[in-house]
Amino acid sequence: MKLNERSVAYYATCDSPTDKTGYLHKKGERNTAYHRRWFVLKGNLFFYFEEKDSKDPIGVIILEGCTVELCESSEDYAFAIKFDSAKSRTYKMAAESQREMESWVKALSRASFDYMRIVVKELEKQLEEMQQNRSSSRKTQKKSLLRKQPNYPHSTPLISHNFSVSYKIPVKENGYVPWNTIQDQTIDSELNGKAHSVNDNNDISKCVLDHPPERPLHTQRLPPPLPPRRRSATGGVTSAVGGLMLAQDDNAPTGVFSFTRLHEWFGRDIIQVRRQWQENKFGSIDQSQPDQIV
Amino acid sequence: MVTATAKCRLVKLVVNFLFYFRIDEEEPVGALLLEQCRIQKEEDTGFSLVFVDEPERKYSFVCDSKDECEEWIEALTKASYEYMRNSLIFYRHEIEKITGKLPAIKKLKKNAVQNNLDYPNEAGSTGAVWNFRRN
Repeated sequence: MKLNERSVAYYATCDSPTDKTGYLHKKGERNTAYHRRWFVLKGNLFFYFEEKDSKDPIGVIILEGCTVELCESSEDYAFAIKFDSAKSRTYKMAAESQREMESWVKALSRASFDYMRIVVKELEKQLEEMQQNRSSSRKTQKKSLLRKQPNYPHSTPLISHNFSVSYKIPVKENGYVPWNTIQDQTIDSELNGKAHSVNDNNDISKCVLDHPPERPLHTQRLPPPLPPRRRSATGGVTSAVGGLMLAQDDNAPTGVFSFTRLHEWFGRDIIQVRRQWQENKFGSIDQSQPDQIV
Repeated sequence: MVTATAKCRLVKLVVNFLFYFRIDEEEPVGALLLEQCRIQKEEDTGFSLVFVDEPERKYSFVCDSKDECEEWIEALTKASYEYMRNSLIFYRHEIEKITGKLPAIKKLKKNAVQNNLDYPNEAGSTGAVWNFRRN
């Protein structure tokens, strides 16, 4: 079966976020001795290299539909990656310490794409519920300048092009002051976030669109400037919440916004900026350039 | 001049892999890992995939209709693990802004070794910044 191997190898060594790395001993398939290899876990892909400084991986294990268990072995700190299918090979591994073994088993168990998808859906649901609760409790409060349209497929956004509109400071809800009502606030988005290690949730970089950062990104608290007013491609309504443009899902209740829409919104701006940059640099736009960010 | 002919294939998206099959064959002809790639709309009812490490090479697809094409583009855009990871970070942060603390994940699955499943792995050792400006 063909595979875009070159791109897969590129993914293994590029600077996209790495979940865990380290030496492990892997039992060979034909040669049943254990071989020490350098392993790199990225998402649901478990790459292994001959050495830590090897240029390309020698193999990859796709961690979908598998279980990770401790197992009996001649080696200490052994565990196995088992797949549902009888045809699939079981990978026997051995770590170099108890702690490393536990750490690897934990990391590999939650590495699948399916698991990630479940968790994201769960959080999306939680956020949706919170926003619904907030909007229903807001109905009893004095209205802010935000207005929402009841039926959205072909509505025009209500955002004014000039964002320096003054807002009333709202009553705190659950200790949370919606930043949307603070003047000149812009989006605080982690779309461009830097994923840090488990214990560090605070130091997340904010990416500033359009303006080059004056300080290192991770020290800036400034959110990016807003995208200009626009109608979304599918005609979906967008509401202005202070600076944040909430791209409402057509199928979601009012007030719910999705990562996908925000991703698209920001993407469009980036595409534009990039085109301009290319024009300035190269004098013309290469029509074959990709124009969608993933 | 090289002219490419479009071959009819059954295409199947499974997690972050796009498999393609010859009609009526059980085993896929090939697969594409959908990481570090860009999806681009092509004229009419088509789209293409371009990988960051090989920008001159396009994997082109033609759909039966514009709607189908849009569906594929949307599905493929969301099909990368990195996209999901960023969604996760985003939702967690949004919830944290409202509640003042990180959201909890209910136990989702029991595993032979561990009893307490948590968030998917949080990457960080290389500290990559997903920077829009980078190609």
